[in-house]
Amino acid sequence: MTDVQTTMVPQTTRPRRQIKWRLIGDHAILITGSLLMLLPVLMVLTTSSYDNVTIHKEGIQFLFGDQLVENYQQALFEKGGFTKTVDGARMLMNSLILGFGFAVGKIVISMMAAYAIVYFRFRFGTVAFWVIFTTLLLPLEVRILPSYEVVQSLGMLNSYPGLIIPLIASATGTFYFRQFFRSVPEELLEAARIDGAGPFKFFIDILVPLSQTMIAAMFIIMFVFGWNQYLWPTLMTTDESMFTLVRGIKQIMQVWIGANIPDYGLAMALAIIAMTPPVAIVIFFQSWFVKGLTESDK
Amino acid sequence: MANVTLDTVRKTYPNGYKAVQGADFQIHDGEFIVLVGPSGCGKSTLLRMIAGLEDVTDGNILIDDAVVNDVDPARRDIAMVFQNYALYPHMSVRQNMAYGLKNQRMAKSEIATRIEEAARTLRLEEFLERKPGQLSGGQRQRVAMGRAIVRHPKVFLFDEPLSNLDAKLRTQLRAELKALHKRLEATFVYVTHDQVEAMSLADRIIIMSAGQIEQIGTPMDLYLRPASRFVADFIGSPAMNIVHGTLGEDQASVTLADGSALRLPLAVNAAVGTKVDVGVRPEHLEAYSSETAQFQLTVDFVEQLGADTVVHGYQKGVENPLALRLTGIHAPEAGEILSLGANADHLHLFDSVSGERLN
Ligand SMILES: Nc1ncnc2c1ncn2[C@@H]1O[C@H](COP(=O)(O)OP(=O)(O)OP(=O)(O)O)[C@@H](O)[C@H]1O
Ligand SMILES: [Mg+2]
Repeated sequence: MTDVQTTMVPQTTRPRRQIKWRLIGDHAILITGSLLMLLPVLMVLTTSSYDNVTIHKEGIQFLFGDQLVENYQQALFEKGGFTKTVDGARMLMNSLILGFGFAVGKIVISMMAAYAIVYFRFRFGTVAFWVIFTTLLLPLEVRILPSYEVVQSLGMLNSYPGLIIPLIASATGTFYFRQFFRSVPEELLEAARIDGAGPFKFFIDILVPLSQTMIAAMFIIMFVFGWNQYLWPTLMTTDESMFTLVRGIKQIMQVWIGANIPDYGLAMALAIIAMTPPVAIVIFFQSWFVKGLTESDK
Repeated sequence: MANVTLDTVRKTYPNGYKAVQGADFQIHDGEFIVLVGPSGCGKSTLLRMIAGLEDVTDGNILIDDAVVNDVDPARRDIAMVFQNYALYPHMSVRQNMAYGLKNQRMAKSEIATRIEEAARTLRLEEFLERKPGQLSGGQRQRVAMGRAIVRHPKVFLFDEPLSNLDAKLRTQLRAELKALHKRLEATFVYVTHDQVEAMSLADRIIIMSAGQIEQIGTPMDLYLRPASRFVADFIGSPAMNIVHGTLGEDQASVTLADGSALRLPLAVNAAVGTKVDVGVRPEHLEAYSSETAQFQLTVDFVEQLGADTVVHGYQKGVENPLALRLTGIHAPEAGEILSLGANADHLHLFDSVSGERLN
């Protein structure tokens, strides 16, 4: 026994040391990468806790200052802009409404479109799918003017529906749900038919629950995408009380730049506020996403 | 409880493929019918037409004397069990069984009693709250059967329900299925490509090949008097020995490929010179006597299975290898020549071209 052990030792320590080095190397790369990603955000966060004079004189700060609460309070609740009708909280709410409306709308519409394409044999079904699919190639910017015309002539400028509805048709979503529905075994549909489930029941009772993980994934992507919309809200909203955060930050900065010192602290605080909800959504749905992936099996 | 009648039913798929070419038979009330045949012969297609999952191209399907061609699957009073179980993965076992009944707007208390009853029959009580993903293959298949049972259907349809299970479980569930049929006294239509399953379960077997029905009969009908060479070949393991030849002058002997004659202890009602296939099952070869046709089997190798022994060999002038099945343990040497015979009852003659039975 002892013989075996002593001869084994030199053999096993070598590879172990190698593995350790690789581990350290891997971690070093990962940590550097994360720092590169996180540091700017962290610096914005720390800097947002100083007053404007300090930031203007001394630049970016690495430690927390004493103005944190004040800056965030001001960012959230002090009315700004030309008309003094909008504060950070209002913009946050607008952004949330846009983000949720956008994500939910896209998911509902694309699920229904994919359901029609996959499960109903109708003439030109495939053509319809490819037409939808090719719109993937056309970004919003290409169709933004006609969209604007339509929304304007419907009198939907400066309204939530006007902000959301023109954006919810989703080729990406339709495509992903189509792929997913096609992977659902045919027998499930047949079992449901024998069980007396019509098209509507099958969709609600079987397909929607099965798509949970897909919906969660889509929700993450679409919410962040909607939250970050800039061009469309900029065109659509002239009324400041309808501004979203992403659009509002810049507008407010411009106004305040006209005054003595730019409101750096405030701008940074708003930037942090604008970042938080998408991060929260990703974290929240990610755990859901993983849970769904591990629990369900078809 | 119901009769099912198929009246010259045909199925042509949209791509022009003729999957079923004239199915014409009646299934009696309470009968256990097994549809058997090689892969791709149209068994599932036929079953799915009875279920209403596939349109009938031509002909009529009747359940209890009512034409159901255009009746929705849910209204045909049938239940179906699929090969891959097709359980709803997001529902518990209880919900899986309840779903169809709920859609019929059945009272909650009635649903609960039926589920309890089915769970007791299938020994699923402890699994009722589990999801299908948390069950073994055999348990899932029992849930699928439970989902069928709770509907109290007139006809149960099974599409290879056991083929995803291992051999031992298959045997066990086969027995359970047989018992279930006895208890429920319902009409069962069961698709399989496994002849053992077919033989052990069926009251009557319908054997199909390439969209055609080859023969309908009890397992013993099919075994003892196969109507065609296809049936003869399909039923029985090891497969029937087939010897090709030409019918001789006296219509009671067959000339083999090397010119030697195989004398038959029976007269064949076919033209002299007809190409014929002579079949005899490995277990029906016995000691040669003057009353039997003579085979000279040169031993090639031996399979000892314990309960019986299968001797594989060949005969001069016969293209196919031959097999002999003996009960008990035997050990003939390779190269040994066995003189074997088959009596008239055990000889099957088929027309080489059409495959039809001649005797
Ligand atoms: N939707 C379809 N369109 C065209 N041909 C089809 C379709 N479904 C099945 N077929 C063809 O019809 C034939 C019969 O199919 P079926 O599924 O009934 O075979 P089966 O006897 O059940 O075989 P298996 O034992 O492999 O399940 C096959 O040759 C198959 O390729
Ligand atoms: Mg099949």
